[in-house]
Amino acid sequence: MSKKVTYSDIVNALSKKAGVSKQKSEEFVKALLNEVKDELKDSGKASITNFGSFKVKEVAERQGKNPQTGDPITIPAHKRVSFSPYKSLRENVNAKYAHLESELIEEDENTTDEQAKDLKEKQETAEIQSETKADEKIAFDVNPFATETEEPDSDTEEVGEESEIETELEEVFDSEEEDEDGEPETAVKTSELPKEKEKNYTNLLATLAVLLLTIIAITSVWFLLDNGKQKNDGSQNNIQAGTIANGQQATQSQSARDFESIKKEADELEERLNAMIQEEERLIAQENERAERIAAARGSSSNNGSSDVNDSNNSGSSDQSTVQNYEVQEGEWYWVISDKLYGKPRFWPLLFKENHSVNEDPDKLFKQVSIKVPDMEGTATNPTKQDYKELAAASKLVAQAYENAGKTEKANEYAKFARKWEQLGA
Amino acid sequence: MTKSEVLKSISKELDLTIAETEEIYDSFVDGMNTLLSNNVGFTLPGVGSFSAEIRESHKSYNPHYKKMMLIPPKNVVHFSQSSTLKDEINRGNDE
Repeated sequence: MSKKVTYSDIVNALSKKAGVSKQKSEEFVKALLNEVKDELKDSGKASITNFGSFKVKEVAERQGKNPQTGDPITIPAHKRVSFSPYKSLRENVNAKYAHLESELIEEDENTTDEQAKDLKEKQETAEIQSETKADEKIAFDVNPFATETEEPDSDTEEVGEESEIETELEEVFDSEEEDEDGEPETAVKTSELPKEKEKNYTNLLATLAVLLLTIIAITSVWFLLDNGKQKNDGSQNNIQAGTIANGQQATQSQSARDFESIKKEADELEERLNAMIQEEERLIAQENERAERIAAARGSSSNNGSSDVNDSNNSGSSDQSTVQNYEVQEGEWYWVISDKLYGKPRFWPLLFKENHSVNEDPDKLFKQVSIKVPDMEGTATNPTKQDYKELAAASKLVAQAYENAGKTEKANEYAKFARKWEQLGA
Repeated sequence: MTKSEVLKSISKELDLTIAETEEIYDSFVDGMNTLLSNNVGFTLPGVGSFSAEIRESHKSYNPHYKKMMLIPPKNVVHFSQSSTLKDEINRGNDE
């Protein structure tokens, strides 16, 4: 950008290039520039061919500011020379960026889209966070049971010196307790996972995971409680029931009741989950079935079409008595079906003739689901004379039908077709 | 004023034929073109300085589509008039 060439350099280069002396070239440049200046002064316009044009422009008076002191100054109206390069120069200079084109940007929509995206993401993260919080809550809900179940444990410790079985139980209990302690942690951890991969996991997955975890935690608590109860019973037998034991039993039964309600909830949740899974499977199965049915229908229809052509190819002399059925799909019209079956849409009068009478308007069809498809003697690309005759007859019928329906233009058209085909068939 | 008119007057001034003058003229313009195409600026004394500048890509309103458009970067010729030319033109105005 900052590269610059001096005036003398230009003059030297010019003298070399044009093969004239330096003096002459400098004289030339001066003369040319004088010409330009004079013209600018005279007419306000000047141009150098293949380079650009100069123009004198009026600049209106305006308020300015002294850049050093900041004092306001009025800049008086004046003239200035503007230069506009010619196209060849513009293109040469811009050759580097010539391939670029300006493109439409929908700024407003984009920004709103981004905002919406941001909002969505925020919502998602918020949801997931709330889920994780709920999960933690559940974990905390579970923890009190763990502490409560510790009480019978301590109780058995007090009493437990008497029997070995009890210590064994204690050990089992301890191990299970460790499991129990471990589980809430894993629950929290796994709930944090979706937080990290929030984009990958859908909300549904996250909720399912949470439900599963709660079920696991609750069932494990249930086992613990059962063990504790048994142990409690044993210890009661041993001590013949003291006041402490009574208190224990009371707390135990309370926790058991709480646990029962939770167990019920868990069962309900499990049932619901199973129901959901079953429904999903059912839906998937239905979809598959539908897809298969559609595929089968398509396959059969295309097979029909191809087999038609093949049949007519193989048994060129077979009569037109071989009539097949075709199941009409939604939105299809003779023209389309004919194109499918014969390979030429123009042969649709054959179909019409086979399925309808003169008194029907060919454009007002299609309450039928299945139509008869007459076979052709020849092929679509190379019909026999018999085919032409059939076509002529069919076209006549269509023309007549159109005539009856009051569509004379179409009737004439098909009458023309009929005549043409008659000639070909003769 | 057309090129031929300019050539005529210059050829008279320099005692050259029109063909010779045209050759110099063409090579001069060609030289300026190549200089600017290669991002080299220069000054023509008494007229002003020329330089090639990059106009950065920017967003602009297109009144036809009534939408904002992204205008790609472009290399453009920049001309700044010399003070002598400015003075001469404005003096002419005062007179």
